[in-house]
Amino acid sequence: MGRFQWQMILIGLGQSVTWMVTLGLVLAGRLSMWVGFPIAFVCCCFAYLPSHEGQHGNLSGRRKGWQWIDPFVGQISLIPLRQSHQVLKVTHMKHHAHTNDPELDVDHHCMEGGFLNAAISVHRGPRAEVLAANAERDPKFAEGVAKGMPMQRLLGGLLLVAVVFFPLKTFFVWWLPSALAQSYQFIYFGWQPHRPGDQVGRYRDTRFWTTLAPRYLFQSMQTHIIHHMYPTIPHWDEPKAMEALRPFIVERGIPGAERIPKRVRFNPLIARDEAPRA
Amino acid sequence: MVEVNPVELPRTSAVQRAITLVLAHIDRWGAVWFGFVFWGSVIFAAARRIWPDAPTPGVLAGSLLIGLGGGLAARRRGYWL
Repeated sequence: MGRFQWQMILIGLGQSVTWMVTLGLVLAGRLSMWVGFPIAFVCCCFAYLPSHEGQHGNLSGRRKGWQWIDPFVGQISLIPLRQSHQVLKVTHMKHHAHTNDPELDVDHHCMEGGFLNAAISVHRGPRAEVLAANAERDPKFAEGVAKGMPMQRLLGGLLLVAVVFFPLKTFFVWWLPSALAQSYQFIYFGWQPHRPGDQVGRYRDTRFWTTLAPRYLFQSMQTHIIHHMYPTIPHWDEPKAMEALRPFIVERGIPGAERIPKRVRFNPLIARDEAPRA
Repeated sequence: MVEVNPVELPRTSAVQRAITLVLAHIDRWGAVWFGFVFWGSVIFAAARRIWPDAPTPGVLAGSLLIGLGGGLAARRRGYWL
């Protein structure tokens, strides 16, 4: 049993409410869509991670009687992205189970090229043959996807209704920020931590990475190796866990481990990346 | 031979059948409708801003056709980009 990750609950609900208010003000003509667009983009960038934590039960800490918080906050957080928490949950579990396996990892299509391919491939979705292979091996996977589809269709339908009445406002405050944010998320949450994407195994499929920009711009996805080793550690606590597990990570030879500094908390981790080019 | 109690057979109402048909249609033609409605509307609104004096029916028809064409292409390819 873990702790309530109140920070992520706050981010999930906060960004979603901010986005809804922004969209409402823009549609009502009280706010310019040119002001609404950057606000919506920032909201959309923060929309996935709270759902991701909910997918692992890390919002409620898997506390009995409080587990409803995970799908509840997770789904509210995903409204700006027009995604179903349930669909993302079942597909994400397959990503964890088969990371970097081209035949079973539902996110592997982002690894077949540079960051531009990752930015585009998120909009194509997982490959049909990968979904079919997972469904064949695990009937509950197909059931889980089917269970989440009504929400996805509902949000897609709402977008279509909105665009008929407010075409440009819907485009600039909903569709475009959502599309750009999903590209950003797939680059830094999927492609960057798993580059070059050809190594499998718990201690090989994820790497420690850095850039010349502070980690806060990438929602600290530099600590993604901790998440893949221990998915039930709350995202907010991953820097602390990385400091504690650093000797173990180095000993295991996890890619990039030798570059992990002793202090990760409050460290922007600014450094040139040394990853093999894709 | 397995005996089936007709009372226990799942009964589908006309509404359920209609919903199933609509969902199947969305699965098959969703990209085309998305292109027609979404991109058609956005292109039309943008065109009206760029060419405010152009005849509305022509601009609307052109916009919807472009959206429809994009949707058909996306359906054929299996993805948009």
